[in-house]
Amino acid sequence: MNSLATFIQLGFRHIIDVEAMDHILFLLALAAIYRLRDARDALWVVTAFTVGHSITLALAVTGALTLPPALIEFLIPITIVATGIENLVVSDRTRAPWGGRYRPVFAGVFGLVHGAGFANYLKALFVDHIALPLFGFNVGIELGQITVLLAAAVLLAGIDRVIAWLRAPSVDWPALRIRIVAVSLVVVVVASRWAVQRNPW
Amino acid sequence: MLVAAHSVGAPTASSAHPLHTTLTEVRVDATTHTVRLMVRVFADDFGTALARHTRVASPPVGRAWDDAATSYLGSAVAIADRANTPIALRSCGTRRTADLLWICLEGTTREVANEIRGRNTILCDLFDDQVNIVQLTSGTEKHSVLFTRGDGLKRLS
Repeated sequence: MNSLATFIQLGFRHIIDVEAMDHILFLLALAAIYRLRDARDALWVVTAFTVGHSITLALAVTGALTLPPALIEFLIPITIVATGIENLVVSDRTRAPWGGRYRPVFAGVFGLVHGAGFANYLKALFVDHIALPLFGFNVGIELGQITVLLAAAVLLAGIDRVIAWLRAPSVDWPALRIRIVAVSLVVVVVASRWAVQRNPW
Repeated sequence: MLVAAHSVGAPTASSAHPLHTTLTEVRVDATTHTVRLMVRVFADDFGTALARHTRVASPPVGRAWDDAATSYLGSAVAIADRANTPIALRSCGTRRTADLLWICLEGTTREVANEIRGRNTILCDLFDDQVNIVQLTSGTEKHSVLFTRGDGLKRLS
């Protein structure tokens, strides 16, 4: 195997592994508000996250940006909590600021935080030849994210079916809103616990 | 001889979303028939693996660290020639930079090694998601092989 393929595989494995639950949970929180017909909007958000994530990873690994690992590890669950809360608070996206189109912006900003999370490891391990590992690892991560999102789409569709089956006729909320609230509550609770555990102060 | 001081008090790079990976560079010197490995591994993880390997609560220190490291590496790292004949590896030193240990191992082949096989399952006993990269440098070309838990010898060249 050539080295690029090796590092792509490394990045891919890193994201789809259960150890990467914080990253997976963030992607789930991002995807929670979309249906299959909203695929274009979801793609914008994930692309923005990817861009932010790649920028910080490159800056941190090359030494252009130095970030305290403890702070980054704390901020990662905070971004997940914030995304979950945004899902809960904004019930009507057509009435949200900018018609709800701010979501790619904050996905990009939160991507900046997540990218820094990997940087310390890559920087330490590939200290003398970082360009190829960095590029390959990033490509692998993006491929892994697409895989996670596809899995999330299947999971969310399954949740929709369960809600449709269980929902009492007297409940006013649309099935999508029930799904968003249920998924976001779980995400917020889990990520809040991580934030407390990782509190650097 | 391995350097025991490297095992003490290794700081963690992170604890939340760790990248469980080691990098091993393999170079073959055709003139001296020498195979040299440089293993890069995070010191804290390696110390934990040694403690587990020797069944003690905390990473060993001093001479005990040397012995534990030699024993552990002997069980986790192997190099063989084309006929799958093992090449005995000996330590050629250890150094530490920040969180990383650089462990040098070398062995001598009987013939000019145009085909090398290897195995590296360092830390696979510790982490389910451990992935070890082994890179064989031959001239300007690099060939990489990934090792995970349960892997046996694989062709490196």
